[in-house]
Amino acid sequence: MRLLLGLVLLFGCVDTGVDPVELPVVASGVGPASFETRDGWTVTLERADLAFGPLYLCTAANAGDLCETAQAEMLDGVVLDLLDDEPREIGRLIGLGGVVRSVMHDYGLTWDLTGMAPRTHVDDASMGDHSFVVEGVAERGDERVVFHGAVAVEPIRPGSLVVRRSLSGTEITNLADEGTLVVAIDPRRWLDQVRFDELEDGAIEEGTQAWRAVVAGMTAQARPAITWKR
Amino acid sequence: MQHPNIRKLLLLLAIATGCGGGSSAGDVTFVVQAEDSITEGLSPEGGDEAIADGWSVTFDRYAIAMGEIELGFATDATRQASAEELFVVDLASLPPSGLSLWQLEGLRTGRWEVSYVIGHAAEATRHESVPADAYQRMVDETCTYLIEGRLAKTDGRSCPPASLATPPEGLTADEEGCYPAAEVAFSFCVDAETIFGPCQAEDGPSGVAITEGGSSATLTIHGDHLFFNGFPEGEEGAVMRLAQWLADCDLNLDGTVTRAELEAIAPSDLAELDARYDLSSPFDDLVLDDMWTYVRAQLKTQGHFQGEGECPFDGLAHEHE
Repeated sequence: MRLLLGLVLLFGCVDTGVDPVELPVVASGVGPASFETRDGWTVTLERADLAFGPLYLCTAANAGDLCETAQAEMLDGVVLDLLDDEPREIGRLIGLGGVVRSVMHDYGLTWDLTGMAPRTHVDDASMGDHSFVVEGVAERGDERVVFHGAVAVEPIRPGSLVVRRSLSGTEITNLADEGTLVVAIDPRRWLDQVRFDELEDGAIEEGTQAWRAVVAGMTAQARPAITWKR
Repeated sequence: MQHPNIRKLLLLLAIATGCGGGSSAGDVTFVVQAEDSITEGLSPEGGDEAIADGWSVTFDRYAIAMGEIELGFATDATRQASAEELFVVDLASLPPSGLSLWQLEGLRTGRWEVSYVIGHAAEATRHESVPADAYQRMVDETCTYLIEGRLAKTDGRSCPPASLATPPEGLTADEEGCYPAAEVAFSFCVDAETIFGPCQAEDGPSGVAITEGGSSATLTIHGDHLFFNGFPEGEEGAVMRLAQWLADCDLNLDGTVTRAELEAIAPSDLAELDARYDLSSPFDDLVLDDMWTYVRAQLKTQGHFQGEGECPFDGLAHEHE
């Protein structure tokens, strides 16, 4: 709706010389190799599925309420296998040429301005209305924890998205000059601060340190990286 | 997010097509103003800015280094002006009308875009509202803010993460891991250098209109973002204000939260930072690995314009000559 209104305003009233753009969005994970966490746990992931989207790119320096009209958007919600490091197309970014300076996206759960509650944005029963489903083994010395979690990262108010950030450096670009949006997602950092020894029955559940660590990783500490290909 | 504001668009088109602005000249005064959350504190009762978890907050000092105001003529980007001086001023002692600190004379009448800087005290002039020793601390510790105050709650508790708490001998936690704490002080000398702008009045035009009769504009600093449950760029109406997280950061239970304690605590250590919180910071270069960084990031969002007007914060450090 925002984009349509923006198109009407731009093309219906003023000859701006701005052309529509449609770019493939390609995403990749990190592969299945084990990694070591802050507290010395060696973690091997056996499943790391992420619900991703929608995604909006904005001209404004700050996303959120200061981005009143998206410059481009990928409205699809998709499920990504983050143990697959092969780049794969996950959707199309549709919008207008022009400089983008901020990005915002959800992890598969959205809360529309007029909605009563967040709702899933992906059609995949295996996610069970969650954003991130993870399974694996953490080992440290003689300790061995088989863990699992299904984390829902929901907007805390209508119209908000769970990741909103300014772009920096080479992330800032003119969409008219680009050919592909590449999204790289690393779930290892999301588990870096999990205290596996505190998990009950290996479960990462809401209200626990592990749940907070994963959510902080997803929304604040290790957010999907953006690069561009021409 | 909101729908595009047609009135704003029309105004921008009018500006872009050259309407307004003549060859006459006028002056503009810039006033620094503290939100009443700074001068009067925050209470748990009533109002849109109430603290939702029962704490009250008072600020004894809210010193800030600010200035370096840049103006750009809306219809001619080559026409610029600036008031470059930075001042360190204690916002907690300001009158409600604010304090006039900058004046620019003889500017072409018309609309000018406005941006300003929260900078380092070492590059700033000390205002009389800030004692010399406080100013010196800001200089020595490379600070942009010196914020000192207290949380109070009659039945208040501090519930530091058990794995990090270092209570004094003889002090034992209750069954929930909490300790009595009716008052918790804090003293933060913070580096949160930020450029704010271009600024826009709430539901109004961007920048300031300079007229022959003289104009004024207000740089408003909010004081409650430390207690927000997220980083809401723009609209603050849906924000919840909570203070328990800060009380829980008193790891040694001495009644004062320090920078060292905040640096030792990861967001995931605090049970208070639950699903009510949205930690998506706009600043990619400030990774929220600890609560000190969280404080820095929140303070980098506090610059406003004409009260509730917005100034985008780019989060980029700026270069000085």
